[in-house]
Amino acid sequence: MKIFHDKYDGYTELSFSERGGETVADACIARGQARISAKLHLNGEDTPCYFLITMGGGLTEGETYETKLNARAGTHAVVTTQAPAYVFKCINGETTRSNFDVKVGQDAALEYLPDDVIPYGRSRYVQTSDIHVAKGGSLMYTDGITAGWSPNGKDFQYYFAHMISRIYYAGRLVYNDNLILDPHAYDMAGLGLFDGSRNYSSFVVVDEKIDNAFVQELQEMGKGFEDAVIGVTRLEGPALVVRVLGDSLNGNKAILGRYIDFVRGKLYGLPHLDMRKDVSFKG
Amino acid sequence: MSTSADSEKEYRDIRRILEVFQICDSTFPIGTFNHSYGMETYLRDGIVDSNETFEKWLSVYLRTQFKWGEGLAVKLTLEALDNKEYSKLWEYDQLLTRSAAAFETRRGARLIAVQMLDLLLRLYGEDDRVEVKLLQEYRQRIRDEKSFGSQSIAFALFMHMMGEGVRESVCYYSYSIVTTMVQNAVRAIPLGQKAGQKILHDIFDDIITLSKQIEGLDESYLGASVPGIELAQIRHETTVFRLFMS
Repeated sequence: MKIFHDKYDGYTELSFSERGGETVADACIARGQARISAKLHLNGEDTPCYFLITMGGGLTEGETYETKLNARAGTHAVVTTQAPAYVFKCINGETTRSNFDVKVGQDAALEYLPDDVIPYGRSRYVQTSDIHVAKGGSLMYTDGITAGWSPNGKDFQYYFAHMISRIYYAGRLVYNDNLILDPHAYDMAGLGLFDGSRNYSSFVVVDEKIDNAFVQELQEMGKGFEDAVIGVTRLEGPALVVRVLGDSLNGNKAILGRYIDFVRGKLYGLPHLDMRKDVSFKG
Repeated sequence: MSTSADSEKEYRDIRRILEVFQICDSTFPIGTFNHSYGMETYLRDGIVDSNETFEKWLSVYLRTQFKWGEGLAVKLTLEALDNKEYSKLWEYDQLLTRSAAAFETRRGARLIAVQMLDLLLRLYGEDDRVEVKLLQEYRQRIRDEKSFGSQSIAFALFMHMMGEGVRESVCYYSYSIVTTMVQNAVRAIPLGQKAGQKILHDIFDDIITLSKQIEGLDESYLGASVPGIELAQIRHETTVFRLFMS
């Protein structure tokens, strides 16, 4: 349900600026179905962490969400979600949408690590993310989608999911990640689509320090995991992507967690990131 | 009895078809035989290992990454040429390349595009048609690292010069890609030559359907992909034993 004079069902604006060497939230706005957690300092780190919350536990048919994140120059923040983005059934022909506008300033670092999208049977979902990293800025970004949930227990019962992320560095497109999942036209579990897996995860890192040696280190790490298919490659610019196709949501999370820890250690000199998430839910 | 004008037209039509055949032939030496588009990863994993599994992979590749990528780029390029919006070609080159996650895929596309442009310019470089000028400009842009290079855009320039429409161009381009892939599979899996021809023949219906679907797509689809096809292309980079460059 839309609030009067508001074009979105859920609107989030969270921006950070640097004051006296510390990162503070200078805008923390949540309207409609959207909420933002209080600030947390995970593991006693200085880095502030915020959880984005969707009231009602998911996105209902035809709703549109808008999320704006901005880590201004010199800041460092962690932003995640409280739960996966459950996209509920769309039985009246309407599409549910979520748009993300993310900015990372010079000498700023944003660890934007949301949970996966879990589309319910008969849902329609379009997600658009425009991510701009200024020269000297640093980004860690996760994204993922599962085989979904359906009352009949079957996989890939959603109508479609279209997820597009355009990631720019210093004003130039680094990666146009355009994913189209259309279970009515394709055998989703089959060859070339999910290859027998149920969970697809992506982890993008943008940072000037990324070079071929950096990418190779992450490629070596991938050989240590047996129950998922993993690939790491360099993008066009100082950026890389890690891709995982695995059988369980938690398995994929654990794998991405290892990469996240490695990258934040190497880029920021920070320890293991424990977001204290319940790992028992099912995807 | 045909007039000399008729026979002149007949000559030009046949000549044009022969010229299109030449560019679409799997022996057109632009190095596509070096690239498996990620198929080799499935081959090493033992997933593509027969006529049936190769045909399945080929069909999925065509109906996903190819359709939204190179196939759509052919259509968009032809439309931009019709509208004389030439700068769009360079935008599509960027968008298409920067949509490919796998480093090897981008590098492979560039190598093929450069050879395609060199050869087309060798055959048609004397011509002063606008398409030839654009082929020359494309070649120079790649040298100057302003463009990456895509075979699909070079091919569409050629087809526009030949006066072919979107449906035909997409079908002919698909054919040229598929015939090369079948030859690659014959060598690598290996498949029998005759089995390869049967697969090629059977995929024609898919190609025609594809060309129809591509007609209805706009720029927002350009460069879209699906997880498995893309991950296989990424993983090819770290495959130890390999016949193909990508």
